[in-house]
Amino acid sequence: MNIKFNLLAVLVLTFATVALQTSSVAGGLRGIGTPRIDPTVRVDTSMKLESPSFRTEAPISARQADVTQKIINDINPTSPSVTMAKPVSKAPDFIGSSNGTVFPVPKGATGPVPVINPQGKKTGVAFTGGTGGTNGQVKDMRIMDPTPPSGRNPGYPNGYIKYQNSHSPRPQGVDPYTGRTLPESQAHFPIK
Amino acid sequence: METSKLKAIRGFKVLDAVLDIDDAGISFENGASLAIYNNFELAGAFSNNAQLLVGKIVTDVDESEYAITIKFGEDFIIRIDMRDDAYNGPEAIELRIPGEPIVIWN
Repeated sequence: MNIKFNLLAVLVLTFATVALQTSSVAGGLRGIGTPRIDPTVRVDTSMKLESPSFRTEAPISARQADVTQKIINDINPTSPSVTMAKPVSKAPDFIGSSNGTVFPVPKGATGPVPVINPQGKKTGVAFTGGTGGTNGQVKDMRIMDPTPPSGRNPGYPNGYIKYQNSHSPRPQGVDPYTGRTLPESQAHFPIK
Repeated sequence: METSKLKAIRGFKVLDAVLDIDDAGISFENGASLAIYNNFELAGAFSNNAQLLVGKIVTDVDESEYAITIKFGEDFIIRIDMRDDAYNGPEAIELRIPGEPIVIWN
């Protein structure tokens, strides 16, 4: 009788423990999802990638890290200061530079696709066809290679990022958050 | 000259244009668009009234190290200064052609 009672107690305890763990895991997974972009957010680049684990705030998985590195290499192998987040088959939600600046990618944009110079050499990449900014007019994002100073161009030793709308007869430089047009002199965001 | 990316607009009609000093661009009937960021000059019978450019066909394009000249019809020319001092930003010209990579002169 005692043996039966003890066996039953063990079974009940085991079931309760498993149920509790399952509940905790499910609760933790609720924290995983698409990050919301906040213009004031700064990326903590000191964060180390960890193996997948059940935590309330899950770190970037090893698989994501592999894909991230592949996209970085595709985008700009000469500019290691650019890193990307949420790398999946479509465009990421944002791109972070090594100093922690976050650059949003227009929602729904696809890419990266190459940007070339007149000689046909790849000088950047673009995410195109999005609808970013509060007015929904941010269509494209270009991530460009470094350029030297010339004329009124101050030079961009680590490259720059430019956002554009689809205005006719030619696209205009826009603010990535509001979508409002910018003077050409203010439409290039340096990568630092 | 045949290697110039700008050959893509030769023979095509202008659909729309703006030719302000710091805000210039032209769209063409093949869907291409040309944004001009460097200093440029206009020559021809139409002054800087960009709307009079609409309907004109690109008849010639000449690209050299220091300047790009685009001729519309027989009497209108845009000359884009490509010297270092003419840059107002990192980009001189942007050419977009549907289905092809964006081309940036910088």
